[in-house]
Amino acid sequence: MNRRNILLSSGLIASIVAVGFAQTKLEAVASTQMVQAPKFEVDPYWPKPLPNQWVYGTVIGVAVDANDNVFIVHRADGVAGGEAAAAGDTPTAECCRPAPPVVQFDPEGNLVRAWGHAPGPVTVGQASFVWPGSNHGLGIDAEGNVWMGGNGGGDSHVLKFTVDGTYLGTYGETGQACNSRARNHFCQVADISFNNAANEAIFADGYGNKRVAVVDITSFQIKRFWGAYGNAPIDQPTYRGTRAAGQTPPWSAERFNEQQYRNPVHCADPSNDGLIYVCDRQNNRVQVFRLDGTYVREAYFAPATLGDGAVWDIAFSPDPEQAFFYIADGKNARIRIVDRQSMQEVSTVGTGGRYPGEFQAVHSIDTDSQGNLYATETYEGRRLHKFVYMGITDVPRHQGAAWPAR
Amino acid sequence: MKRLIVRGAAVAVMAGSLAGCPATDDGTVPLFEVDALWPQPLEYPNILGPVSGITVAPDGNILVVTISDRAMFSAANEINTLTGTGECCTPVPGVVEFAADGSLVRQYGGPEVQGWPVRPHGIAIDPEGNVWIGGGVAPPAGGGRGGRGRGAAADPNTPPPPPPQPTYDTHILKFSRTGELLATIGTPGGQPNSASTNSFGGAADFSFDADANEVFVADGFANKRVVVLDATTGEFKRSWGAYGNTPDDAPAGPFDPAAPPSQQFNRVTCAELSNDGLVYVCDQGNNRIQVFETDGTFVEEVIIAGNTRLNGTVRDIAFSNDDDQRWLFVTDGTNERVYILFRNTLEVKTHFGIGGRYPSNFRELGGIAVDAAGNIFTAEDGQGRRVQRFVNLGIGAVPAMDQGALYPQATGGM
Repeated sequence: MNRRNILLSSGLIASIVAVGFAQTKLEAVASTQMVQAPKFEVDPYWPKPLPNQWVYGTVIGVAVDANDNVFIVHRADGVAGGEAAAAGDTPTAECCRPAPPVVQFDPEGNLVRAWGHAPGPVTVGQASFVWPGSNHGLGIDAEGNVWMGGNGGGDSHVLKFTVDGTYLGTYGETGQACNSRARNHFCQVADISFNNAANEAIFADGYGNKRVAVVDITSFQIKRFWGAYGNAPIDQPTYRGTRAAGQTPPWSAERFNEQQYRNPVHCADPSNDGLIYVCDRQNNRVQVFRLDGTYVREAYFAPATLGDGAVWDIAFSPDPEQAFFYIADGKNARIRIVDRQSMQEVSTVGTGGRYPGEFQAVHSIDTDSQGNLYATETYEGRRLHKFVYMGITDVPRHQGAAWPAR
Repeated sequence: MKRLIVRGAAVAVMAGSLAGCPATDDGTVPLFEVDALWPQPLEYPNILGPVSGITVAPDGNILVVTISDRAMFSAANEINTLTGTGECCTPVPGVVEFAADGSLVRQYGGPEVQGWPVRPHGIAIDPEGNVWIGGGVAPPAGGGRGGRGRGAAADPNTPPPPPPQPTYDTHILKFSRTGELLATIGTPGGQPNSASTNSFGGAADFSFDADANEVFVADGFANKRVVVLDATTGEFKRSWGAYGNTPDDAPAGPFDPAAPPSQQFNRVTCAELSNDGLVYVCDQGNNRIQVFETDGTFVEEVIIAGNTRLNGTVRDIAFSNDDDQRWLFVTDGTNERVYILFRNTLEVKTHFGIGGRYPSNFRELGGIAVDAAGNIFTAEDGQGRRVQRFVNLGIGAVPAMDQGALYPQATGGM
């Protein structure tokens, strides 16, 4: 019978995969065990529906401001074909058109404002600047200004705007080639965070460079930078690109302790106690540094993950000690909840799919003052999710889509 | 929707009409809100592919057909459990059946089944309780993406290879409710031909006439006709084109809203039989519904959002659950909405849904079905990949022509 055949063949696939993912298999068996960790419930009706037949492109940045407004950046210019049929001067249907790239919601999920430009040179009044070729990453500084990076060719700068999109400045010269030791530009900055006490911006630099770069907000100068383990970054192509699926040693021999970042360096987020957590995405690891770049420790997550990698973005739990941090894992379709002291994963939230709390490609995360977790999706996911923080309690090892009780 | 026609019910309807339920338009419509938490999440690591057909069984279960071909999924991050590169996910095999509460009942089908369509499309349950699945058209392998081998120098001594051709599903599969393959109707592996009596051209959907033991086939994505078969034997009985014309397979060309109405169909994606014996045909590429008697006599037509180009507006039709079937629900996967038409006048009274990926948003909306309680189920193809449930809130005045997203009122709604 057909169904039996299918079951047999999927069993065969499962046993092949199990060679590389034995740990996952064990975790699945243990998924009924309860652990103490932050619990989340997805809010399927947040944010409110967009007006104007607007849709999102790939949502590749999120940041929450001091008043729990939620900002995203998406690639409006990537909305194409049937999804953009209502755009332009000669629409071919009534749906849809891209929302402007930067969108702000209030805590209730109401649209506050949306703004931004198409890639390339922009002139607004007296101001001239270059909008990124490919939007990527968002940060809100202590003054409430909005910073954004870019991972397109020639995106060697970071832009700063007021909350309503008035241009404030450009960090780094535009249109420069990648150079991880450059002091006058960056290369495809993936994410931006702040050390407000020191008036510093911290750039995950990036898709092209292999470093964390720290910038003085006022002087626009690069103050310091460092590579993996605090090493001087080296732009060796050995570390570029993607491991092939199913590749066997020497891949496995070099997957740990790589002395340089494997692009992209996808996040660099400071904790309350003065540490910076860096996403070395395709090396499946988090590296922890002091604010001056001194290497402290590292931890690997789903280390057998190939391709896009497992460590995409980081956010912290709302308690003052930040006892937990969260990792967006866009390859494996979940957010990992990690005990910050032990660097051990204790639970996960989210799973694969297109429904609330399910991910096609979770990309960026941030938390608000209440501990609620916001997650965006790139590729074909193209959503902003809100997971309501339910406190630290007994949760399953895998919380899955985290739906509220009906 | 693919409800069984029951003549007894039609008689009861007429009696009801005489008793004071005339099918006149009093300005009311059925009202809905989305149920964002339906169906229940699939068991890890399963995900849905494009959902290309949907029906409600007589027992209230919801059946969908999905495209599980690996080429439909991103190898970068979506099917890691198949590629061995990570932890999630694996597409469901093909047919998925949900209980009314959204729990999984069974799943079967998929490319491992002999003769499984390259692009399965449309699912319906016949009067004997068996499951019919049609097909579509797969683009040429490697086509549309470009780039492969582009750098290779052309050898002047070798004639250029013929351009890659699409693959057509020219047959229909019939399964038992539990997934046993019972019959293949039509000859697989052929080419579309609207004059053929033994093959189809991307048969997109079905409905059934229990009394006459006939199946109406929306034929289809490539052919330009409705086909009527014997529901038991699959034997060809009759067919017709737009306005009842003899179908002509000449390419339609790009749709021009200013041109006179086409005398041929352009992608026939549904053929739904009403309780009172009319066949409602989705002529997707021409943005219209054409209505016929069961013998193929043309009755009337209606154009929906007629200026729409791209993939057109009329993808699937379901009838409201009242015996009169006072309303038609019509999906439009280009403007991403469900229209509610008053059936007697074919007038659009209102529509709901917006483009997007949230609840009551649509991305490539396609199939639609209604259960006995009047709840609507929708299926999204392409990158939408969801089945959504809309709860029937009863009859009321039209809230607005464009109702937008249908979040529950308790959430603040629209």
